Amino acid sequence: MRKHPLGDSFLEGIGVLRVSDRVVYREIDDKIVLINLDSGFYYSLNEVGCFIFNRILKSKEVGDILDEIESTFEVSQREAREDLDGFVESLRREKIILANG
Amino acid sequence: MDTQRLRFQTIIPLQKYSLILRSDSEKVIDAVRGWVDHDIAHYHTIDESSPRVPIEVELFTSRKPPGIDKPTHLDHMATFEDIKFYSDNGHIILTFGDTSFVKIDPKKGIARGFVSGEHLESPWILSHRIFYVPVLEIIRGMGVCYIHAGCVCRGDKCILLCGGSGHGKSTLTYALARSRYSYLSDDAVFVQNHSRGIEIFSFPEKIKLDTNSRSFFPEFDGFEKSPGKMEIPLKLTKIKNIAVSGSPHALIFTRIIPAEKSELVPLPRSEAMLRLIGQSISLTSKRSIESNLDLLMKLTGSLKSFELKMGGTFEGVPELIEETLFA
Repeated sequence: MRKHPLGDSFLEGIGVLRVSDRVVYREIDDKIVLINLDSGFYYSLNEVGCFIFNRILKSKEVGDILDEIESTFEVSQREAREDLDGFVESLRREKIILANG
Repeated sequence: MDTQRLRFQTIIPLQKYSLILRSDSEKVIDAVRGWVDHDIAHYHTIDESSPRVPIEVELFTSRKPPGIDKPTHLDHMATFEDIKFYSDNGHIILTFGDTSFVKIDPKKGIARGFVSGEHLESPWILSHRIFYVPVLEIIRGMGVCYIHAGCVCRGDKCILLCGGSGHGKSTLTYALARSRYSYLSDDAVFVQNHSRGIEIFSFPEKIKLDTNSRSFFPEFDGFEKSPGKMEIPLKLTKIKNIAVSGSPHALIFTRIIPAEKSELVPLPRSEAMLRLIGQSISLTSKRSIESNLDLLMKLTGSLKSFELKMGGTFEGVPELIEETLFA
Protein backbone atom coordinates (compact mmCIF):
# COMPACT_ATOMS: atom_id res chain seq x y z
CA MET A 1 0.00 0.00 0.00
CA ARG A 2 1.18 3.48 -0.79
CA LYS A 3 2.07 5.46 2.32
CA HIS A 4 -0.41 8.29 2.68
CA PRO A 5 1.06 11.48 4.17
CA LEU A 6 -1.65 11.77 6.83
CA GLY A 7 -1.16 8.76 9.08
CA ASP A 8 -2.57 7.81 12.50
CA SER A 9 -5.58 6.12 11.00
CA PHE A 10 -6.64 2.54 11.53
CA LEU A 11 -6.60 2.29 7.74
CA GLU A 12 -2.80 2.34 7.86
CA GLY A 13 -1.55 -1.09 7.00
CA ILE A 14 -4.77 -2.11 5.31
CA GLY A 15 -4.28 -2.66 1.62
CA VAL A 16 -7.67 -3.68 0.34
CA LEU A 17 -11.09 -3.82 1.96
CA ARG A 18 -13.79 -6.27 0.97
CA VAL A 19 -17.52 -6.60 1.43
CA SER A 20 -18.58 -9.45 3.72
CA ASP A 21 -20.17 -12.51 2.11
CA ARG A 22 -22.96 -12.07 4.65
CA VAL A 23 -24.09 -8.83 3.07
CA VAL A 24 -26.59 -8.44 0.25
CA TYR A 25 -26.73 -5.13 -1.60
CA ARG A 26 -28.50 -3.54 -4.54
CA GLU A 27 -27.95 -0.21 -6.29
CA ILE A 28 -31.14 1.77 -6.75
CA ASP A 29 -31.17 5.21 -8.35
CA ASP A 30 -28.27 7.05 -6.70
CA LYS A 31 -28.27 4.97 -3.51
CA ILE A 32 -27.06 1.56 -2.41
CA VAL A 33 -29.23 -0.50 -0.09
CA LEU A 34 -27.43 -3.06 2.11
CA ILE A 35 -28.73 -5.89 4.28
CA ASN A 36 -26.57 -7.61 6.88
CA LEU A 37 -27.84 -11.19 6.81
CA ASP A 38 -26.56 -11.93 10.32
CA SER A 39 -27.90 -8.95 12.20
CA GLY A 40 -30.94 -8.28 10.02
CA PHE A 41 -30.09 -4.58 9.94
CA TYR A 42 -30.39 -2.74 6.67
CA TYR A 43 -28.86 0.51 5.51
CA SER A 44 -28.75 2.93 2.61
CA LEU A 45 -25.61 4.73 1.51
CA ASN A 46 -25.47 8.37 0.44
CA GLU A 47 -23.52 9.71 -2.53
CA VAL A 48 -20.09 9.59 -0.88
CA GLY A 49 -20.89 6.22 0.71
CA CYS A 50 -21.83 4.78 -2.69
CA PHE A 51 -18.66 6.21 -4.21
CA ILE A 52 -16.46 4.51 -1.60
CA PHE A 53 -18.48 1.27 -1.50
CA ASN A 54 -18.27 0.86 -5.28
CA ARG A 55 -14.49 1.20 -5.11
CA ILE A 56 -14.28 -1.34 -2.30
CA LEU A 57 -16.30 -3.69 -4.51
CA LYS A 58 -13.70 -3.17 -7.25
CA SER A 59 -10.95 -4.16 -4.76
CA LYS A 60 -9.24 -0.78 -5.07
CA GLU A 61 -6.46 -0.07 -2.62
CA VAL A 62 -7.25 2.25 0.27
CA GLY A 63 -4.64 4.77 -0.92
CA ASP A 64 -6.21 4.90 -4.38
CA ILE A 65 -9.67 5.40 -2.90
CA LEU A 66 -8.33 8.32 -0.86
CA ASP A 67 -6.86 9.92 -3.97
CA GLU A 68 -10.13 9.50 -5.85
CA ILE A 69 -12.14 11.06 -2.99
CA GLU A 70 -9.77 14.05 -3.00
CA SER A 71 -10.02 14.62 -6.72
CA THR A 72 -13.72 13.84 -7.22
CA PHE A 73 -15.11 15.79 -4.29
CA GLU A 74 -12.35 18.45 -4.31
CA VAL A 75 -11.51 18.05 -0.65
CA SER A 76 -8.18 18.12 1.20
CA GLN A 77 -6.23 14.97 2.00
CA ARG A 78 -7.24 15.32 5.62
CA GLU A 79 -10.93 15.59 4.75
CA ALA A 80 -10.69 12.64 2.40
CA ARG A 81 -9.06 10.52 5.09
CA GLU A 82 -11.64 11.59 7.67
CA ASP A 83 -14.46 10.70 5.28
CA LEU A 84 -12.99 7.31 4.50
CA ASP A 85 -12.05 6.63 8.13
CA GLY A 86 -15.56 7.39 9.34
CA PHE A 87 -17.23 5.39 6.63
CA VAL A 88 -14.99 2.34 6.95
CA GLU A 89 -15.08 2.38 10.73
CA SER A 90 -18.87 2.39 10.83
CA LEU A 91 -19.21 -0.38 8.23
CA ARG A 92 -16.51 -2.48 9.90
CA ARG A 93 -18.31 -2.12 13.21
CA GLU A 94 -21.44 -3.43 11.51
CA LYS A 95 -19.39 -6.26 9.93
CA ILE A 96 -20.34 -5.10 6.45
CA ILE A 97 -16.80 -4.64 5.22
CA LEU A 98 -13.67 -6.48 6.27
CA ALA A 99 -9.96 -5.77 5.89
CA ASN A 100 -8.16 -8.02 3.48
CA GLY A 101 -4.80 -7.08 4.97
CA MET B 1 -48.25 -43.93 5.05
CA ASP B 2 -48.92 -41.61 7.96
CA THR B 3 -51.19 -39.41 5.95
CA GLN B 4 -54.01 -41.91 6.40
CA ARG B 5 -53.85 -41.38 10.16
CA LEU B 6 -54.44 -37.66 9.69
CA ARG B 7 -58.20 -37.98 9.66
CA PHE B 8 -59.05 -34.29 9.46
CA GLN B 9 -58.49 -32.06 6.48
CA THR B 10 -59.37 -28.63 5.16
CA ILE B 11 -58.52 -26.98 1.85
CA ILE B 12 -58.11 -23.23 1.54
CA PRO B 13 -58.02 -21.70 -1.93
CA LEU B 14 -55.38 -19.01 -2.30
CA GLN B 15 -55.39 -17.56 -5.80
CA LYS B 16 -53.66 -20.24 -7.92
CA TYR B 17 -52.64 -22.30 -4.86
CA SER B 18 -54.56 -24.83 -2.81
CA LEU B 19 -53.49 -24.92 0.82
CA ILE B 20 -54.20 -28.42 2.08
CA LEU B 21 -54.06 -28.86 5.84
CA ARG B 22 -54.23 -32.34 7.39
CA SER B 23 -54.07 -33.20 11.08
CA ASP B 24 -54.96 -35.87 13.58
CA SER B 25 -56.61 -33.17 15.69
CA GLU B 26 -59.80 -31.33 14.90
CA LYS B 27 -58.54 -28.39 16.98
CA VAL B 28 -55.84 -27.68 14.40
CA ILE B 29 -58.35 -27.71 11.56
CA ASP B 30 -60.85 -25.58 13.49
CA ALA B 31 -58.21 -22.98 14.35
CA VAL B 32 -57.27 -22.47 10.70
CA ARG B 33 -60.85 -22.61 9.42
CA GLY B 34 -61.82 -20.06 12.08
CA TRP B 35 -59.15 -17.68 10.83
CA VAL B 36 -60.13 -17.85 7.16
CA ASP B 37 -62.96 -15.65 5.93
CA HIS B 38 -64.95 -18.09 3.85
CA ASP B 39 -66.79 -15.34 1.96
CA ILE B 40 -63.44 -13.96 0.78
CA ALA B 41 -62.12 -17.48 0.11
CA HIS B 42 -65.14 -17.98 -2.13
CA TYR B 43 -63.72 -15.39 -4.55
CA HIS B 44 -60.52 -17.41 -4.76
CA THR B 45 -62.47 -20.47 -5.85
CA ILE B 46 -64.44 -18.86 -8.66
CA ASP B 47 -61.91 -19.60 -11.39
CA GLU B 48 -61.68 -23.39 -11.40
CA SER B 49 -60.51 -23.54 -15.00
CA SER B 50 -56.78 -23.39 -14.28
CA PRO B 51 -54.99 -26.08 -12.27
CA ARG B 52 -53.99 -25.15 -8.76
CA VAL B 53 -50.58 -25.66 -7.17
CA PRO B 54 -50.96 -27.72 -3.98
CA ILE B 55 -49.22 -26.69 -0.77
CA GLU B 56 -49.56 -29.39 1.87
CA VAL B 57 -49.21 -28.96 5.61
CA GLU B 58 -49.46 -32.02 7.86
CA LEU B 59 -49.56 -31.43 11.60
CA PHE B 60 -49.38 -34.30 14.09
CA THR B 61 -50.41 -33.83 17.69
CA SER B 62 -50.52 -37.30 19.21
CA ARG B 63 -46.98 -38.32 18.23
CA LYS B 64 -44.04 -37.03 16.27
CA PRO B 65 -44.08 -37.79 12.53
CA PRO B 66 -41.54 -40.50 11.68
CA GLY B 67 -38.18 -39.28 10.43
CA ILE B 68 -38.80 -35.73 11.57
CA ASP B 69 -37.36 -34.54 14.82
CA LYS B 70 -36.57 -31.31 16.55
CA PRO B 71 -33.22 -29.97 15.27
CA THR B 72 -30.24 -30.24 17.55
CA HIS B 73 -27.16 -29.40 15.49
CA LEU B 74 -28.46 -27.76 12.33
CA ASP B 75 -27.48 -24.41 10.85
CA HIS B 76 -29.44 -21.70 12.59
CA MET B 77 -30.56 -19.16 10.00
CA ALA B 78 -32.83 -16.69 11.74
CA THR B 79 -35.15 -16.01 14.65
CA PHE B 80 -38.53 -14.31 14.54
CA GLU B 81 -40.16 -13.82 17.94
CA ASP B 82 -40.34 -17.38 19.34
CA ILE B 83 -39.78 -19.03 15.94
CA LYS B 84 -36.31 -20.27 15.01
CA PHE B 85 -35.39 -21.06 11.41
CA TYR B 86 -32.82 -23.79 10.65
CA SER B 87 -31.51 -25.16 7.36
CA ASP B 88 -30.99 -28.85 6.70
CA ASN B 89 -29.96 -30.09 3.24
CA GLY B 90 -32.38 -27.93 1.31
CA HIS B 91 -35.09 -28.27 3.93
CA ILE B 92 -36.13 -25.58 6.40
CA ILE B 93 -36.95 -26.52 9.97
CA LEU B 94 -38.96 -24.17 12.14
CA THR B 95 -39.25 -24.51 15.89
CA PHE B 96 -42.03 -22.82 17.83
CA GLY B 97 -40.94 -22.29 21.41
CA ASP B 98 -39.32 -25.41 22.83
CA THR B 99 -41.89 -27.97 21.85
CA SER B 100 -43.50 -27.70 18.41
CA PHE B 101 -41.63 -27.92 15.11
CA VAL B 102 -42.24 -28.22 11.37
CA LYS B 103 -39.95 -29.49 8.61
CA ILE B 104 -40.47 -27.89 5.20
CA ASP B 105 -39.53 -29.29 1.82
CA PRO B 106 -39.82 -26.13 -0.32
CA LYS B 107 -39.26 -28.01 -3.58
CA LYS B 108 -42.16 -30.39 -2.99
CA GLY B 109 -44.34 -27.77 -1.33
CA ILE B 110 -44.85 -29.92 1.75
CA ALA B 111 -44.50 -29.11 5.46
CA ARG B 112 -44.83 -31.76 8.14
CA GLY B 113 -44.51 -31.31 11.86
CA PHE B 114 -45.53 -31.79 15.44
CA VAL B 115 -47.78 -29.59 17.58
CA SER B 116 -47.32 -29.85 21.34
CA GLY B 117 -50.15 -29.83 23.86
CA GLU B 118 -49.46 -26.24 24.98
CA HIS B 119 -49.79 -24.89 21.42
CA LEU B 120 -52.82 -27.01 20.66
CA GLU B 121 -54.82 -24.85 23.06
CA SER B 122 -54.04 -21.60 21.20
CA PRO B 123 -55.99 -21.14 17.94
CA TRP B 124 -53.92 -18.03 17.14
CA ILE B 125 -50.57 -19.84 17.41
CA LEU B 126 -51.94 -22.80 15.44
CA SER B 127 -53.26 -20.67 12.59
CA HIS B 128 -50.93 -17.66 12.40
CA ARG B 129 -47.71 -19.40 13.36
CA ILE B 130 -47.58 -23.19 13.03
CA PHE B 131 -49.75 -23.30 9.88
CA TYR B 132 -49.14 -19.93 8.21
CA VAL B 133 -45.37 -19.46 8.61
CA PRO B 134 -44.53 -22.77 6.87
CA VAL B 135 -47.00 -21.84 4.11
CA LEU B 136 -45.18 -18.48 3.74
CA GLU B 137 -41.83 -20.25 3.47
CA ILE B 138 -43.14 -22.62 0.80
CA ILE B 139 -44.66 -19.76 -1.18
CA ARG B 140 -41.40 -17.81 -0.86
CA GLY B 141 -39.59 -20.81 -2.28
CA MET B 142 -41.88 -20.51 -5.32
CA GLY B 143 -40.55 -16.98 -5.98
CA VAL B 144 -43.30 -15.10 -4.16
CA CYS B 145 -42.44 -12.16 -1.93
CA TYR B 146 -44.45 -11.33 1.18
CA ILE B 147 -45.12 -7.71 2.16
CA HIS B 148 -46.72 -6.50 5.37
CA ALA B 149 -49.21 -4.11 3.74
CA GLY B 150 -52.88 -3.46 3.21
CA CYS B 151 -54.14 -3.36 -0.36
CA VAL B 152 -57.14 -1.95 -2.20
CA CYS B 153 -57.77 -1.93 -5.94
CA ARG B 154 -59.40 0.17 -8.61
CA GLY B 155 -60.14 -2.32 -11.35
CA ASP B 156 -56.87 -4.18 -11.81
CA LYS B 157 -54.75 -1.41 -10.22
CA CYS B 158 -53.55 -2.10 -6.69
CA ILE B 159 -52.66 0.49 -4.07
CA LEU B 160 -50.39 -0.97 -1.41
CA LEU B 161 -50.67 0.65 2.02
CA CYS B 162 -47.67 0.19 4.30
CA GLY B 163 -47.08 1.47 7.77
CA GLY B 164 -46.03 0.42 11.21
CA SER B 165 -48.39 -0.33 14.04
CA GLY B 166 -50.53 2.69 14.92
CA HIS B 167 -49.86 4.52 11.65
CA GLY B 168 -53.39 4.14 10.32
CA LYS B 169 -52.75 1.47 7.70
CA SER B 170 -55.64 -0.83 8.60
CA THR B 171 -58.08 2.02 9.18
CA LEU B 172 -57.21 3.62 5.86
CA THR B 173 -57.43 0.28 4.04
CA TYR B 174 -60.92 -0.25 5.41
CA ALA B 175 -61.97 3.38 4.76
CA LEU B 176 -60.97 3.01 1.10
CA ALA B 177 -62.44 -0.48 0.72
CA ARG B 178 -65.86 0.60 2.04
CA SER B 179 -65.96 3.52 -0.41
CA ARG B 180 -65.08 3.02 -4.05
CA TYR B 181 -62.19 0.55 -3.99
CA SER B 182 -62.15 -3.24 -4.01
CA TYR B 183 -60.68 -4.90 -0.94
CA LEU B 184 -57.69 -7.21 -1.32
CA SER B 185 -56.04 -7.32 2.11
CA ASP B 186 -55.74 -5.38 5.34
CA ASP B 187 -52.21 -6.38 6.31
CA ALA B 188 -50.42 -8.94 4.13
CA VAL B 189 -49.93 -9.26 0.40
CA PHE B 190 -47.96 -11.58 -1.83
CA VAL B 191 -46.04 -10.27 -4.81
CA GLN B 192 -45.09 -12.53 -7.70
CA ASN B 193 -43.26 -11.78 -10.91
CA HIS B 194 -44.63 -13.22 -14.16
CA SER B 195 -43.62 -12.70 -17.76
CA ARG B 196 -46.75 -10.55 -18.12
CA GLY B 197 -45.76 -8.39 -15.13
CA ILE B 198 -46.06 -8.28 -11.35
CA GLU B 199 -49.11 -9.79 -9.70
CA ILE B 200 -50.36 -9.00 -6.21
CA PHE B 201 -52.65 -11.30 -4.24
CA SER B 202 -53.46 -12.14 -0.64
CA PHE B 203 -54.59 -14.75 1.86
CA PRO B 204 -58.39 -14.89 2.40
CA GLU B 205 -58.44 -13.95 6.05
CA LYS B 206 -60.85 -11.92 8.16
CA ILE B 207 -60.42 -8.17 8.43
CA LYS B 208 -58.65 -7.01 11.57
CA LEU B 209 -59.53 -3.70 13.23
CA ASP B 210 -58.91 -2.52 16.77
CA THR B 211 -61.37 -0.55 18.88
CA ASN B 212 -59.93 2.82 17.82
CA SER B 213 -60.11 1.97 14.10
CA ARG B 214 -63.68 0.71 14.43
CA SER B 215 -64.72 3.96 16.14
CA PHE B 216 -64.40 5.79 12.78
CA PHE B 217 -67.14 3.68 11.20
CA PRO B 218 -70.77 3.59 12.40
CA GLU B 219 -71.31 0.00 11.23
CA PHE B 220 -69.17 -1.16 14.18
CA ASP B 221 -71.03 0.87 16.82
CA GLY B 222 -72.53 -2.21 18.44
CA PHE B 223 -69.21 -4.06 18.65
CA GLU B 224 -67.66 -4.69 22.04
CA LYS B 225 -64.36 -3.02 22.90
CA SER B 226 -61.43 -5.38 22.47
CA PRO B 227 -57.88 -5.12 23.81
CA GLY B 228 -56.23 -5.94 20.51
CA LYS B 229 -57.44 -6.27 16.95
CA MET B 230 -60.76 -7.98 16.39
CA GLU B 231 -61.09 -10.33 13.41
CA ILE B 232 -64.25 -9.29 11.57
CA PRO B 233 -65.95 -11.36 8.87
CA LEU B 234 -66.53 -9.60 5.56
CA LYS B 235 -70.29 -9.99 5.86
CA LEU B 236 -70.33 -7.71 8.94
CA THR B 237 -68.54 -4.89 7.13
CA LYS B 238 -69.54 -2.32 4.51
CA ILE B 239 -67.13 -3.71 1.93
CA LYS B 240 -68.93 -4.32 -1.33
CA ASN B 241 -66.21 -5.52 -3.68
CA ILE B 242 -63.44 -8.08 -3.27
CA ALA B 243 -60.33 -8.30 -5.46
CA VAL B 244 -58.43 -11.57 -5.66
CA SER B 245 -55.40 -10.19 -7.47
CA GLY B 246 -54.17 -7.17 -9.39
CA SER B 247 -51.14 -5.32 -10.69
CA PRO B 248 -49.15 -2.66 -8.79
CA HIS B 249 -50.19 0.96 -9.25
CA ALA B 250 -49.06 2.85 -6.14
CA LEU B 251 -47.32 2.33 -2.85
CA ILE B 252 -48.29 4.54 0.09
CA PHE B 253 -46.50 4.64 3.44
CA THR B 254 -48.86 5.98 6.08
CA ARG B 255 -47.85 8.18 9.00
CA ILE B 256 -50.04 10.00 11.51
CA ILE B 257 -48.96 13.60 12.10
CA PRO B 258 -50.30 16.25 14.49
CA ALA B 259 -51.91 18.41 11.80
CA GLU B 260 -55.35 19.30 10.51
CA LYS B 261 -54.71 18.56 6.87
CA SER B 262 -53.37 15.38 5.30
CA GLU B 263 -50.67 15.40 2.62
CA LEU B 264 -49.58 12.87 0.03
CA VAL B 265 -45.90 13.43 -0.73
CA PRO B 266 -43.95 11.62 -3.48
CA LEU B 267 -41.21 9.35 -2.14
CA PRO B 268 -37.94 8.58 -3.96
CA ARG B 269 -37.67 4.98 -5.12
CA SER B 270 -34.61 4.28 -2.96
CA GLU B 271 -36.44 5.48 0.15
CA ALA B 272 -39.50 3.37 -0.74
CA MET B 273 -37.24 0.38 -1.27
CA LEU B 274 -35.55 0.83 2.10
CA ARG B 275 -38.88 1.12 3.88
CA LEU B 276 -40.25 -1.93 2.06
CA ILE B 277 -37.33 -4.12 3.16
CA GLY B 278 -38.43 -3.68 6.76
CA GLN B 279 -41.93 -4.81 5.85
CA SER B 280 -40.93 -7.74 3.72
CA ILE B 281 -37.59 -9.48 3.99
CA SER B 282 -37.32 -12.62 6.09
CA LEU B 283 -33.78 -13.54 7.08
CA THR B 284 -33.66 -17.10 5.89
CA SER B 285 -31.29 -17.97 3.07
CA LYS B 286 -29.09 -15.55 1.14
CA ARG B 287 -30.59 -16.75 -2.13
CA SER B 288 -34.13 -16.15 -0.90
CA ILE B 289 -33.23 -12.67 0.35
CA GLU B 290 -31.56 -11.78 -2.96
CA SER B 291 -34.57 -13.02 -4.87
CA ASN B 292 -36.90 -10.98 -2.63
CA LEU B 293 -34.72 -7.88 -3.04
CA ASP B 294 -34.81 -8.21 -6.82
CA LEU B 295 -38.58 -8.51 -6.74
CA LEU B 296 -38.88 -5.44 -4.49
CA MET B 297 -36.59 -3.56 -6.91
CA LYS B 298 -38.88 -4.49 -9.75
CA LEU B 299 -41.96 -3.58 -7.72
CA THR B 300 -40.67 -0.14 -6.70
CA GLY B 301 -39.69 0.48 -10.32
CA SER B 302 -43.17 -0.35 -11.56
CA LEU B 303 -45.23 2.00 -9.39
CA LYS B 304 -45.25 5.44 -7.81
CA SER B 305 -44.42 5.72 -4.12
CA PHE B 306 -45.75 8.24 -1.64
CA GLU B 307 -45.78 9.07 2.02
CA LEU B 308 -49.22 9.91 3.34
CA LYS B 309 -48.96 12.27 6.28
CA MET B 310 -52.35 11.89 7.87
CA GLY B 311 -53.91 14.40 10.18
CA GLY B 312 -55.89 13.27 13.18
CA THR B 313 -58.93 12.15 11.19
CA PHE B 314 -59.33 10.38 7.88
CA GLU B 315 -61.42 13.21 6.52
CA GLY B 316 -60.54 13.99 2.90
CA VAL B 317 -57.92 11.24 2.66
CA PRO B 318 -59.80 8.98 0.19
CA GLU B 319 -60.40 12.05 -2.04
CA LEU B 320 -56.74 13.06 -1.79
CA ILE B 321 -55.64 9.58 -2.87
CA GLU B 322 -58.20 9.53 -5.65
CA GLU B 323 -57.11 12.91 -7.03
CA THR B 324 -53.41 12.12 -6.85
CA LEU B 325 -53.48 8.61 -8.23
CA PHE B 326 -56.41 8.54 -10.64
CA ALA B 327 -57.18 12.12 -11.73
